Amino acid sequence: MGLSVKNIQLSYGKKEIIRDVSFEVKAGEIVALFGPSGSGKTSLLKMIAGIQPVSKEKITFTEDFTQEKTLLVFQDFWLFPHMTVVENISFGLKVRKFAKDKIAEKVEKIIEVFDLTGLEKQYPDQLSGGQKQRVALARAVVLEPKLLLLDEPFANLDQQLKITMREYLRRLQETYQFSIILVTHDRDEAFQLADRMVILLKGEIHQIDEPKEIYYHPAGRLVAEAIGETNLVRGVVQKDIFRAENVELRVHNPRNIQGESLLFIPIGIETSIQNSGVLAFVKRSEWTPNGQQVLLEIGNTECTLTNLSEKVKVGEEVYLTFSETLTVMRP
Amino acid sequence: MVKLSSKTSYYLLLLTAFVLLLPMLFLVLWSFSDRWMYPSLFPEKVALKSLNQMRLDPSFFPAVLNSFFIAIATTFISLLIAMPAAKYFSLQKLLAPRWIEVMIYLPLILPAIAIVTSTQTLFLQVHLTGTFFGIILIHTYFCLPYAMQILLESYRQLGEGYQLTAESLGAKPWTIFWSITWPLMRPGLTTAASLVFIVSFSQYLPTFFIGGGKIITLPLLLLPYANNGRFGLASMYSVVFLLCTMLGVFILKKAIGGVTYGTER
Repeated sequence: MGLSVKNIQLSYGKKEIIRDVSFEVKAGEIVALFGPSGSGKTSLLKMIAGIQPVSKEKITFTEDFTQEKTLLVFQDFWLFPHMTVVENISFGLKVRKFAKDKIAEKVEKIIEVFDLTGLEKQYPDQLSGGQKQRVALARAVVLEPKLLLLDEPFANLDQQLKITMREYLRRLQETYQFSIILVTHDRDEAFQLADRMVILLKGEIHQIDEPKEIYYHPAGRLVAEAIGETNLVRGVVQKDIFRAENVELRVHNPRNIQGESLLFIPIGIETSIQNSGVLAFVKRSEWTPNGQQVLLEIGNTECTLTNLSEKVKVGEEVYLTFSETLTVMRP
Repeated sequence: MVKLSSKTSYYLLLLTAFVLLLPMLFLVLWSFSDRWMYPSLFPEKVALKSLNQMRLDPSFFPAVLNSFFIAIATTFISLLIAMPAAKYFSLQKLLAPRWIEVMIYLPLILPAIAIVTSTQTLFLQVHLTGTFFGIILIHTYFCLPYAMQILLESYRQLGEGYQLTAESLGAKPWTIFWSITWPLMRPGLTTAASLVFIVSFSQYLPTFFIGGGKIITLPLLLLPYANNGRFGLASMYSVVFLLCTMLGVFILKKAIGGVTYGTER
């Protein structure tokens, strides 16, 4: 274990921003704090970074994790505009009173790693978005953090650059083996990078799990909606059998819901068309770069699926079998 | 809006500059004229009479030095008070910006003569009348709104991000101030300092009341001449006054450091 956050609370005046938040980060792990804007994610990061007050016993560093080895990189980078790239990167080393030759050596190495060669004497306003991002990361990584806190690190970059930088960050993490807490409201980013996701909605944690688990088995309707999923079929559950019109299916019922409930079908779930299973009526079929996207009526509810084993035609009735056991949740 | 051709706008700019500088031209003309009566368009006789009279006035050089000393001290104290105050006000969320504005401008909204006379009564009791310190205090009171307003805006523009980033990178408050806040605040500080210097340099009433005639500054010498219609001498003093403020602003700009790279936002 490296960092443990326990029962954190935060309010501005009467408004409660964070209510009782606890989670842990292990060494070398990437944890995504996922939630919509205004859910208190940035405040949480600031507290962990030690630049926003919090009662002491609530954030604990263990093993060789310390507050000093925890570094925050903001969404807006905040490169010091009056310092060159080299001066920006060496700032943290200077305040840590490293010797001059040691600083030069570390900075030279990190400039190479971060692909910033030739930009040493440039000022931040002469850099492109991606370069600024790399300087901001380099400025933190050069201090050899155990835990890197990234606040929406790629939000200010265009789509192409985002994908490149994600890959870059992952390689970086593999090389330096630090843990990352990544604050994001971009679910693809979280799914792609995170080992575990912490779903933070309205100041409360709704689920902590691996991305795949969260995708297939969200803890409730709010989580499902937060990750952008909309296929919720209304019906009735009894123990682990879910029933709706033309649907009878064995399901996951972790919360032991009885009666009225919603069946959650992930948009991207692997679905095969067979002779028996869940009856569905094909209403629309569209081509997308990621394959066929089909609008189906399942138990009186319209659902979108993108990962069908074969092509279906509009107007057809088909029987679906899903690769994972589906989950039911409270309506 | 009608878009002007570059040539037209250039001439328009030239005209504006001319209109702005015209009064200065008259100041200079007045300063070096001996006789200038209606209906002649230009002075009838050019002379150094005013210059000599000013130069030979025994209180002239002390007045210049006093003015400089008081204005510089006022600038220093005003910035010293306004910087932390502006920082606090820019970050606090308790009071609405409108109320802060009113608070800042209060010294300018309240009638100056009431403030000055009541301050004089108070200062008499604590033996501050006739002292430099007393004058500097009352000047600071009238100059703070200018310093506060400019620095508040600078702090608001600067935001918290740079400081928080520096803090996260391990910098202590003192380092953050000297390596981040100070250099980034320089443009705002220079403006505030220049304005405070000019405002302090041109104060008449507070200096007159609190100084009690013991401490003479340039405006104290200038005003009686202007009131008595001795335009030649008044203009001569005004020219010196202008040059002095320009020199003061120049010195302050050099001292604070002006614009360094990247601080211009």
